[in-house]
Amino acid sequence: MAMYIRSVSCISPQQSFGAAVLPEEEISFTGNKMNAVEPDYKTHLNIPSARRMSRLIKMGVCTALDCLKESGVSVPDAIIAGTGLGCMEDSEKFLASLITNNEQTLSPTSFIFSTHNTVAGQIALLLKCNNYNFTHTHRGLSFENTLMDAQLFLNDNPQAQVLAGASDEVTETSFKILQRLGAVKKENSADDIRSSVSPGTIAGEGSAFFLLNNSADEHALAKISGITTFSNPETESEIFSNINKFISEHHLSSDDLILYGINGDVRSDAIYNEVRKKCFDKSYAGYFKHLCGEYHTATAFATWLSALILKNQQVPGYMLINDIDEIREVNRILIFNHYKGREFALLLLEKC
Amino acid sequence: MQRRVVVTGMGIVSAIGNNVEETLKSLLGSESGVSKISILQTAISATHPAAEVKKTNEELRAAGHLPEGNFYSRTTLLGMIAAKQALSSAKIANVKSLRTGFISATSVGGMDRTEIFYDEFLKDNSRGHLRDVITHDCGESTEAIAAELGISDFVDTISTACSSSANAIMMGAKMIRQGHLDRVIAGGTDALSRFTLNGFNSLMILDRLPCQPFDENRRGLNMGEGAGYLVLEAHDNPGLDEKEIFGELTGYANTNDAYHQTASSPDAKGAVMAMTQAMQMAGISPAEIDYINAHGTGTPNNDLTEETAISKIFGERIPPFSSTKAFTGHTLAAAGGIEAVLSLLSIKHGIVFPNLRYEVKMKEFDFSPVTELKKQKLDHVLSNSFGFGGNNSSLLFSRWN
Repeated sequence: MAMYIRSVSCISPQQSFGAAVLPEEEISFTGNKMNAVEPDYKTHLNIPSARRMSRLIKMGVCTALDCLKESGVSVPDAIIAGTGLGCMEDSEKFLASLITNNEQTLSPTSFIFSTHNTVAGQIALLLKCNNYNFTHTHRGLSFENTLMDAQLFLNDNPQAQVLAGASDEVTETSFKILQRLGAVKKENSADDIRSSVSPGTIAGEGSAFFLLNNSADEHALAKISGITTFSNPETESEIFSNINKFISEHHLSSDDLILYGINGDVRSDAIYNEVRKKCFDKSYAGYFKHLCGEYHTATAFATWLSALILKNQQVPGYMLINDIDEIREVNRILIFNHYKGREFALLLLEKC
Repeated sequence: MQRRVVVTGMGIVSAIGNNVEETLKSLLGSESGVSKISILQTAISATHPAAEVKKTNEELRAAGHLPEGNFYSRTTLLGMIAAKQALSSAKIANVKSLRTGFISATSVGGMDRTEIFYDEFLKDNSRGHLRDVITHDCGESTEAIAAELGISDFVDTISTACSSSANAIMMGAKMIRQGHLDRVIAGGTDALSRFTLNGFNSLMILDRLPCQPFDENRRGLNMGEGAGYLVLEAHDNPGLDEKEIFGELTGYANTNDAYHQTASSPDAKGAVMAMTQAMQMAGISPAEIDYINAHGTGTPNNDLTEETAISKIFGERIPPFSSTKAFTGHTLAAAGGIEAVLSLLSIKHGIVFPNLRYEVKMKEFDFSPVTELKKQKLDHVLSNSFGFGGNNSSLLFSRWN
């Protein structure tokens, strides 16, 4: 497979929106929640309908439109969006309202905006784009399946410009439930994801969109050259055989940078260390979730990060696991991620 | 050349039957599934009928011979029953023998359980059983069904409101055509929930009587629940000679109306594009379409737009068309899967299903849906699914030869 990233836009807990290079210093987090640094929507999403949009829809639509603007494409041939949980804020609002009002005389606004395809639908509406419009919502693979769909579309339509991305939000309610499930750390936790040895992760959120096409020209930021996903592996050896197959198919080497989806939860991070030891012993190693937190579509953030690294050939020290001061040249980045040990993904990007 | 995609298995559960045979019997007997809501606990059961599967979750589990112990949402239970039927109808004993995917659609996933959690959670945030909320996300039902079927090669969930399972079938077909998978079980599932029932009610598009799609005096839709799945296979898969092939998916298209978040456009742009592109892909002219299984929800807006689209595309020669939602209710994300099964049954048995309860022609047009069961040979059937967010999908099924 091969597709090229022509432009990107990302809202995350870092200063990512509008950034052409990665910030020199990261915003670091402890505790159990990272909220996105949102741009001033009055400037960047100056449309009347924005006042009715939840944070998720605003983050999604804003990054999608910004990405498109950067690319110079006016109307894409396809809009493909991923989301793990969809429009939680609107869903919670409507649910609370129907229970509180005993199912009588409800306002439809939050229901209207609660469907999972609201972000993709709103982008189409704003662009008057009548083309292909899909939404994938498959837990930890929502973004990977979105990219897979983009690749299928580009294979069928080689000249196409595809706008693809993923968005998820933390709401007050969803966060309370994460706390009760024991999925996140204690509020007063002093653990950084990079060095944590306690259970639970730090919840995160964000949106990243990409303009993808088949043009390997000087505008391309990076090339996406491989995606593999698998679900519910029954044994550890099944995980390794999938990874090793990917390694040999793509001839991965020690010069490549591997970004691990380590999320600070001691219960599920062990496999990353195993894989690093057994498969990528000599490769450069980095983290990304200490920057964006854990959520279903965190790999969209990692893809944004990777595209900028490959384009600018700059790897900030705060991302690296190894005791390396700098990497002179990065030709390829592999993002290896799993969500709760159930959904596994390998995503390979290359320098153009 | 890309591989062709054929259908070798089907599974369905809805208010008009727990399997393909029962469903066909109801269709032939013009027996609608719309009635008073009795399983779902809702404050509006007395006023708003729906096409409910008249089995409790425990009864569904028993009827489907589903594993005990695991906790499933109703959406998952319905989906499991239909997906397992599809697999067995395709005579697939071992899913690992070929690269197999499972692509499922749902609009609100395990919302039926989330509501129960929320009743308590709202009173006190430390209350509510967590087991009722961990099945909330759309991917949960898909993963649970995939695990039950033993599928792990590729698993995906599509959620594009009421066109979701048509899109799941489309995604499956693309994975096969481009050689990533050899077969895919694709379709969708949705249980009735207070969330969706009240959502449509808040938009004032629910009919308080059994719905009348395409009728001049139509008042709205009836909600439904259920699941429908197809087994899609590459035409060159080994062993296909010994299987019954229900039809070929010769065309499909997804477009966006880009008009309004919930309403469809007066010029029917998205719907016209979806149907036209599906026919173009198949290389089939409008004159060759033998039947349209319409989206036909029964809302004033949808049915006017859809007749506008049909009129624009087919002009003087309107093919037989009907909405089967007067039988099944509007099953949201499952509708495309359920209606794909019905479209294939049309081809197999040579039947155009009647549009129940149709009385008065819409004043805008000079044509009507099929109102009596019609027997004829059918070679090409279009199935429409339109959803919120302007999402328009058409699937084109053809007789296999």
